[in-house]
Amino acid sequence: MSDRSKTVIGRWFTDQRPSTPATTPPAWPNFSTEAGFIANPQLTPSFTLTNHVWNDTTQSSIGDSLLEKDQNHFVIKHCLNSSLTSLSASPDHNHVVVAGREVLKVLSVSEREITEEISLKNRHNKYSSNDVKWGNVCKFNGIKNNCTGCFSATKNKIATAATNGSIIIWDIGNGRAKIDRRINEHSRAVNRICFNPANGLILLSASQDYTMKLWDLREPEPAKFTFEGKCESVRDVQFNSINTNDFAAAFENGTIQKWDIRKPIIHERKLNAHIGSVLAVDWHSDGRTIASGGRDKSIKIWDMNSDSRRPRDAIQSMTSISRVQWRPNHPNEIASCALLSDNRIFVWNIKRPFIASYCFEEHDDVPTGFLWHDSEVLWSCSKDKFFIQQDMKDSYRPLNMLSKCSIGWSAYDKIAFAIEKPNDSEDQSRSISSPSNQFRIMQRRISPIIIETRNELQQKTGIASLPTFDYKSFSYLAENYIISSLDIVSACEHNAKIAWDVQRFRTAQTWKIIQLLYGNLEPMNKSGSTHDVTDENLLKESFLTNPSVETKSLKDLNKDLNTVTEKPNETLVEDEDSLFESDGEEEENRVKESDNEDVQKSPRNSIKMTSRTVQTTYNSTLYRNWDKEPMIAQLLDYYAEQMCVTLVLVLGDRIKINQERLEQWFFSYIELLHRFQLWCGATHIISSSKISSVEMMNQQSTTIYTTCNNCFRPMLNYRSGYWICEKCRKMLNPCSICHNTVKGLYTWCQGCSHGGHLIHMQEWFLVNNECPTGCGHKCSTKFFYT
Amino acid sequence: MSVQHFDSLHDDLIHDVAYDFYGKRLVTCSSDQKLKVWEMSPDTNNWEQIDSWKAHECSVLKVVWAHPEFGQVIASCSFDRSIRIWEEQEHEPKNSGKRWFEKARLVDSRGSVQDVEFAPNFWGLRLASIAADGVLRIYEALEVSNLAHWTLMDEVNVHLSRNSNTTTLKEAEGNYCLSWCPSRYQSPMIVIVLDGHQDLIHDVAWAPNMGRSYHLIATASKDHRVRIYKLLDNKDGFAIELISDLNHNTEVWKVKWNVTGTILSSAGDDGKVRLWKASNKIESEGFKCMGIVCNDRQSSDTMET
Repeated sequence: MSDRSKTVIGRWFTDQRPSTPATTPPAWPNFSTEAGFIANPQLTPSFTLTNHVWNDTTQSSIGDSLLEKDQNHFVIKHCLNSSLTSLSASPDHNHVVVAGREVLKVLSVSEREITEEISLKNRHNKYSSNDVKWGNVCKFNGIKNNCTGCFSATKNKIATAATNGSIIIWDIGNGRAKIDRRINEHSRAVNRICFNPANGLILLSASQDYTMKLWDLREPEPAKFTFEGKCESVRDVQFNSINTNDFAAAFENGTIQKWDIRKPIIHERKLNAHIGSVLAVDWHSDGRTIASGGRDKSIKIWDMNSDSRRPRDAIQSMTSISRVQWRPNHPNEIASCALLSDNRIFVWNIKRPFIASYCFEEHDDVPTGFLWHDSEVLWSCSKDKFFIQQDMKDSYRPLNMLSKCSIGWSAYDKIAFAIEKPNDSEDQSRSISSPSNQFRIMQRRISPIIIETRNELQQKTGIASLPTFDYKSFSYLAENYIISSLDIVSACEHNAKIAWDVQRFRTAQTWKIIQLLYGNLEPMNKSGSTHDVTDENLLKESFLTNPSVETKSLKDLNKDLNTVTEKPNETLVEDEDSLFESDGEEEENRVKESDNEDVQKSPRNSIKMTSRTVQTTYNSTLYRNWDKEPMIAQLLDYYAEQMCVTLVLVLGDRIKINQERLEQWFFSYIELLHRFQLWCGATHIISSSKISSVEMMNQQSTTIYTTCNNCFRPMLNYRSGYWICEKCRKMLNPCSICHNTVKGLYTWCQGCSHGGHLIHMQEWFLVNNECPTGCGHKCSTKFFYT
Repeated sequence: MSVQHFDSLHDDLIHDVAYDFYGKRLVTCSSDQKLKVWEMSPDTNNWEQIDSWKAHECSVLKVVWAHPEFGQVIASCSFDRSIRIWEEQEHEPKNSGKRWFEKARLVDSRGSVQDVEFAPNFWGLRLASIAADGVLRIYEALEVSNLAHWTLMDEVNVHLSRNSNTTTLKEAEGNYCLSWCPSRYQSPMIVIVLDGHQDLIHDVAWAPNMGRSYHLIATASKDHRVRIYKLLDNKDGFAIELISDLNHNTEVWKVKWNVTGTILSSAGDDGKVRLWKASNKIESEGFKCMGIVCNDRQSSDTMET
């Protein structure tokens, strides 16, 4: 085990050496000691090898499965027996220190494994740590003379901030942990600490006691400076990585402040950033932009060099933001985690503020801290006791779970749609920036912000109208069809005409056939006194008196039908329509002549019209009482609910249909009528139907809620018994003329809701047309008549 | 066949559009966390915005209208794990941002709510929802006039437990959709699509029945297929038969039937809406493409038939 650890660490050295800034050569010799204590784990009594959790491979086959892991998973989890509150990486990013309620441990993290190295927790420290930070090298010299040569600074030191206000500096320099210093200057809990990125000897703290303090760790206490934010508790502080004298602080009352440590009296800039407390700030690597996250569930991006008091960008999340951190080398991307109830770590692109670009979902509880190991690898710790190393490849893209298109149908067969342009826009919309950078580069200090234009949406919305549904003819038919079954002949005739009017020739012909089929069963006198009677009688007579001719011609017809029906449906329709139109006008005249030929011709047309339904039955010879049921059944199958329902109503009990099916037709048709707001037609259908469940629709308790005509409050409260309005304490709906309560018929204007006794209203509106209460409403023209 | 453009002015992707019962109003929901309601203006024949408001704290995934007998009520569901019920306040001016009032917020879900649908009105004001946590929840407003109070009638765990011991469910693993059976002659039924990682189903739609002797259910799948199943009611359950397996050419995200259940539309990543109509011999030929609405590069929509 120890051998393997050594080789791993060794490989890291060779990997990392070239990318480390050249200004820090003195930092390197110390690594040998670190590697040394890894190689000799017996020397550190707290060293443990337990609780390695591998995602999908066993430890024994690490070497073999490495390639596979490269392609699939990079998640390495490590359990630490206690919920964690924060983490910090060593300056060389080989190690991480994790802090929790009962744990403070240094872990060695490589691409393939995580090992525990030092446990720092001991009996001296009974308070849990709010924050932990690994110290830093001192990078620049010459500015402060006494700093020269002090390169390693606090590189082997770790600072923890405790809930009781003390800050402890640990020294882990020789593979052994000891407390280097204990600072007890804050009176209340310390929320966050921060080493200066340029000088690891400078430590800054943010405390619940409303102050920030800065120490130079070479000097004895007390603190070098105390910064008074005058803004309640300080939740977070962070140094600017470019201009290292600047730091930003986040406050409980929603403000963020920018300070210069050389001017400890007053802040340089103050912004009212969030509603509720600000929980996190993070400087962008460009040195001028700050991201802040707060309890108001938003992340806001501020340009500290501009005078604007509004954020440059804002991201609205679903949970309070507890931590934010910019992603290295991706100037527009920022990661965040939630304070409560969300176990995910999101990576946002600030140019696409509504949909997170990436999402890590490895933790089983709320993440409490995370940091970018490099631009592709994220380290995080959580309340679920796990420290996790994960790669961007382990994340998923919420955008891929979202549909880019949508459709909606209206009752009028119109389609509302939102669809995105295909293919060429793929790169812009699906992936704002692809994780193309496969080479892991340590965080570069300066990466200028590339101001991208806002991601342009490729989605288009529109409404397509289909010609598949003709609303006008539907409503015309619905309004004009006769649905009484008393006089079939005239009803059919009328309905055929109606259908004819809206150019539904096929439907018209069907009505004619129905008329023929059922009309002639009726006694003559039942056909009433409409003008059609003569025609009908003639038709019937010819039908009855010339059966031989009919059958003959119909047999011929069958041949025709067979040829016709072989054609595709579309052409058939055209044929029929044109045929009908040409013959249509002549029809009446010819029928009147009662010529045999013409009589044949007219039914011939109609048979052709409904060829599909008719052809089977016409093979049999025509008898007066032939079996019409199969034909009607086919006919009903063919037509939609409007025709079916009307037909059923017209024919009444002459046809027998499955009750359930019948009800479905009625309900469907009534629903359609409702959709088109043809209320009268619907009610008519309901009341003429003989089906109890349909009739029920008009018999259900109909409630009309009334409102007070003074304050318009709905009258829902029965306690006062409808006499007095609960709210305005006025008598309800008195007569506007005599001011008495109206008993019995109350007549009121729907426009202004004033009214009274019918007789008073009639009198008043005989001479006036305005409302008697003087409300100014002109009621009379519309609503009142005498 | 005509196409009318309208600019939704949403700041991010639109995830759902829905007409109301009468086809006179339109609601759109988007990742920009807003809902927008549109109404056809009779004067100009254009869609005019009635109101636009921030409805959720995350992408709004789906929006549905309740039957108008319950008033002008909208339900929306979102990544933020909530379902919200909105009712129109007619006394508020249009485009005030206040016209739709949040009547209720249903927050039982522990994952993003992926689908929501009102039951057919004859079952009452009932709402079915399914979330990434794999739980189907059915809510009902028992007092129809009080939209603030929704009772959780049923909670069914439909999660296919791959690793049953994990208490927490990963958002990315749950993928569900549902659709109510529109027939009043069956007991209330819902079709739910559980996630299958092989060919993920993105959407499901139960066709309006309109007195047919069988049911039709359509699914939209990640593997580019639109499938239509026919359900025949036996005495002991349904006989299910795949009658059409249609190719949309790209990943399909949405399927929807028209009001009479005669035309199916599907939309996918290729930026096209395809329309499928039953051929006359439904048994042998199934459904056929009758038209395509597409958003081509010249940004003009064309219709092919």
